[in-house]
Amino acid sequence: MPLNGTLDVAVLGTDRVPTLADPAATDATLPDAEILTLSFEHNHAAHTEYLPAALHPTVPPTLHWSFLVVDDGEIGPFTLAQLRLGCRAGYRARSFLVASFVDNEVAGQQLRARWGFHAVPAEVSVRRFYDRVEARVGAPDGTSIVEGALVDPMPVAPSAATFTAALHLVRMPDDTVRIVQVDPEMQFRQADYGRPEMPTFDAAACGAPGLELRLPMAALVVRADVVLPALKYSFAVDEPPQRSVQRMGPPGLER
Amino acid sequence: MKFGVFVELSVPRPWTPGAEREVYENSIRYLKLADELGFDYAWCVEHHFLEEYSHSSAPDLFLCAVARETKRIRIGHGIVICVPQINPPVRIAERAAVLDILSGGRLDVGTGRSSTWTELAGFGVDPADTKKYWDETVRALPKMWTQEYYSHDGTAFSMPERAVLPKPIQDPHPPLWVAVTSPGTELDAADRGLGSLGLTFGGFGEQEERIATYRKRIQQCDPVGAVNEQVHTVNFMHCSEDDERGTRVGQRLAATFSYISSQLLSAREATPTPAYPSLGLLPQLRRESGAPGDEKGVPEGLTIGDPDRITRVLRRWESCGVDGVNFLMNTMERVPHEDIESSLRLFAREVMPKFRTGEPAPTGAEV
Repeated sequence: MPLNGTLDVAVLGTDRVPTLADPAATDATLPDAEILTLSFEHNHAAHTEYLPAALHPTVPPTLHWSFLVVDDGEIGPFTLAQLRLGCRAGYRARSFLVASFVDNEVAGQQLRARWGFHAVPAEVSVRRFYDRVEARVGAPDGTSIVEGALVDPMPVAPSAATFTAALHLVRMPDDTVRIVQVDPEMQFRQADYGRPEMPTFDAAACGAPGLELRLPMAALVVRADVVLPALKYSFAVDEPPQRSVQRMGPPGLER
Repeated sequence: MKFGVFVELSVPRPWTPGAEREVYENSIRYLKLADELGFDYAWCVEHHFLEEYSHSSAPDLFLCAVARETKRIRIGHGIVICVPQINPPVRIAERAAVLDILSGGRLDVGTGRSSTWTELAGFGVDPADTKKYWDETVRALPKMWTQEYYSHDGTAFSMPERAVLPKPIQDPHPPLWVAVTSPGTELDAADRGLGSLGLTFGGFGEQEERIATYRKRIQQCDPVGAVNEQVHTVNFMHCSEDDERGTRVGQRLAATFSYISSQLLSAREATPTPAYPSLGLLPQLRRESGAPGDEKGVPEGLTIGDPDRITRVLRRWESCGVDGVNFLMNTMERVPHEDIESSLRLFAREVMPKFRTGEPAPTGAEV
């Protein structure tokens, strides 16, 4: 059967797996957000070590950088950069969060407490030009963790845009680490497709040393009304998802 | 109604020395048995880089071995990926002609374009271009086989005037098919006079409508070669005297196939190209596996269980307008070879004769 991840979640601290202090029990609306996604194949040598055992790597292994720019909404303005690996949860196509950075610490606190994203404060920017859309994550010392771009955007039907649901690790109040899914609902307004470039990628700064870019796959930038949904399900890090899924919801985390 | 067997040559990990050879040898053995039992087609897929799912990257070589081990069964070379970076059209024509000669004129050729990023990107192919590549290739193949000299100046490929040799021995050429997965491809098949080789499993309602459209449309076709008006589908098959055992083994086979195929990275998932309007096989499989089934929870349309159940399902397919069904008997070596053999024998003895009125019974093997 397919390969499984080999990530040892026990060694991950709260900086990597934040405690879900105030789990999102209601949806959050992010109107007219911009999402830039840059997708690449990555090296086989790192195709299992950053995925928990419950997940299978894609064949070939893939990674996606996404940049979510929110100008307004109930969490406030923020730009969130996330590094995800393509994977499968049982039969289902998913992506798994490896690293994330946010430019607004107030928003970051909410993203950590309510959805469990380990959003590290950083300089995150997305700039749109006529022939490219550039994104950057800067470290406190001024160096770049990632610099990438969508090149030569071509309009595509918004219906052509697809996003796989995203998974990440959260620490429950009893200190167990589980996987949750955040599958934003999106009403697309505009979509452009292009070629991805990524001249700078500091994998070690993302907590993923050894992860290397390979073949560029696709780049997509969309404008959409986004709804970050309440957390609904979690599953174990080391069992097939269909065997360990648990419903989440108020007032407790699990029922 | 025609019946075939198709093999994916899937090889589960761990890939121990000899594992691939065992899968290849087992598959040849049960295709040889299928020939002796009176099955009509032995299909073998073409795939590249699809770990575990299919280690069948040189199906023409595999099928050459099958052709030399069999006497009557037709040799289904498909789906051949009609993308020049993977298979230059001339090479498809040449290899198919050789296979037709060495099989004594028993070759059918299934055409397609691959639906995985894994394969297409592996050969540097932009998924957005595959439909036009396929179209250009299927229009070229009959000419390469039938014209003394052939030349072409196109988008997918160009070549100066050359004699494409050898020529197939079937007159005018081997029947051509196209893989039909996405809705609308049956129209592409009909418009070109190609056989429709459905690659979805189960689901009567939708396919009945698509078959009716195909039949109507092919009457006005502009054929690329000899018209091959046939509709075949693919199905899982496990036939057992014990219905409970047959459905259990069959459902395990279907579930394993769905699981391993869901690990593939589809072209549509990787790039937002309109050339792949759907995610391909996987959503169909998932929808059908979750479809309302019978009292045992067996999804409609699957040919698994005892001979009576399988006969009922095939009668339903027949009423939908299907001319033939090709069976997937194994994946990931989940079904022991001896169970496949007994399943084939039972099907040939109890089911096949009910669909063969007026045809002579097979004489090769004891059924």
